[in-house]
Amino acid sequence: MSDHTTILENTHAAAHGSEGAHAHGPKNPVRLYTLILTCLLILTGVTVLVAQFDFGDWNVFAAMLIATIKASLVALFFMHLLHDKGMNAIILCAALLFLGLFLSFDFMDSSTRLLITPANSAAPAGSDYNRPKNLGVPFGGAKNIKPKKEAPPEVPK
Amino acid sequence: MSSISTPVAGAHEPHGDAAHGHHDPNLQHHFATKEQQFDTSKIGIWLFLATEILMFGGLFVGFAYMQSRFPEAFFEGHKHLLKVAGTLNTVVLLVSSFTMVLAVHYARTSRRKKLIICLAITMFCALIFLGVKYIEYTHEFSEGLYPGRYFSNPDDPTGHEFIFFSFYFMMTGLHGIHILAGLCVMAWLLRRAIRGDFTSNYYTPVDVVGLYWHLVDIIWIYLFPLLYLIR
Repeated sequence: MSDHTTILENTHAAAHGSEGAHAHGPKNPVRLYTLILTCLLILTGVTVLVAQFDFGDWNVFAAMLIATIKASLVALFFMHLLHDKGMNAIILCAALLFLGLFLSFDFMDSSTRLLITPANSAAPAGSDYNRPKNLGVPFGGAKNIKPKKEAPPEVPK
Repeated sequence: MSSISTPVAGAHEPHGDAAHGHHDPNLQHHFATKEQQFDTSKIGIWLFLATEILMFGGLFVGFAYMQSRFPEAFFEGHKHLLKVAGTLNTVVLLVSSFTMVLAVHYARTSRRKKLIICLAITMFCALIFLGVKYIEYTHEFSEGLYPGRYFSNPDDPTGHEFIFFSFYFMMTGLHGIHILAGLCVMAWLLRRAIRGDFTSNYYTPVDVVGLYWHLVDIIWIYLFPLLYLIR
């Protein structure tokens, strides 16, 4: 196996002269890199331009979409992932997967929490004292707590 | 262990790879081939970059959480930032990434002079970035916008602007430290490039530092719209 790769490397090096054994990349790298840089600069302009307008909830989405396109261009071409061995891409994807898990779990937590204010912090911790009626018990976490039957006294405003 | 028990075999048929010679100074003895050595270095730097993504990821998640809790404070806070400086730094960093990838290309094709020029331009861009960052920080400090509990802005309409600036200084500060570290490593690369260490036969350090530099660039690509352009 190693003899085989050695022969391949030798013929490869002989055929391409100064190009090394790892030159599996694009045919004209300098032109490609210049093109990518141009795209990145244009996209930077687009981000700044888009930020001048208010799209409501889509602002962050648009900004992150453009940023992700830019990051993908850098990763695929400047970081050689497109022409590289798959192992490196797997490592990157694993990191992004766990970052995605982190983000999504954080979002699930923050979007299902009750905001603690002086008005509802009067209740003892862990009880359903001030929980709005339309909210269920989260993840079955409060099963051991006996629900109060009688109406609660007035909450201090 | 096996090399101790069979020293003779280890000395006389080291790798089954006679083409690269027994005394190639760039091939360390625990690798069978140069290709294996190169791939190992690449996997190593990618694993390091994965930890970097997760480290910055924590800050990004924290930013997202606090931004959704205090959108007005983040919006009011970002008005204090110098948008022109942020845009300029984005352009500078993108250009530096471009010259860095050219440096890798010229190292791979044994063009020493162009490699040196590209490394020098990349370092110059990093210095510009840090200089602009210094101007920005000075501007913010002059308005009393310090990180954490030293923050003071009597005109803060929301009362929570300090949260934005804690994230701003933490994220750009950590990113700035990465730029500084990249600058130091590139100075070492430049010294070795001038010495003529890098040829098509061996250019792993240039490639590896290039990958690090591009990741620092990618992190800024996300930081710029989040900090400077949010609405």
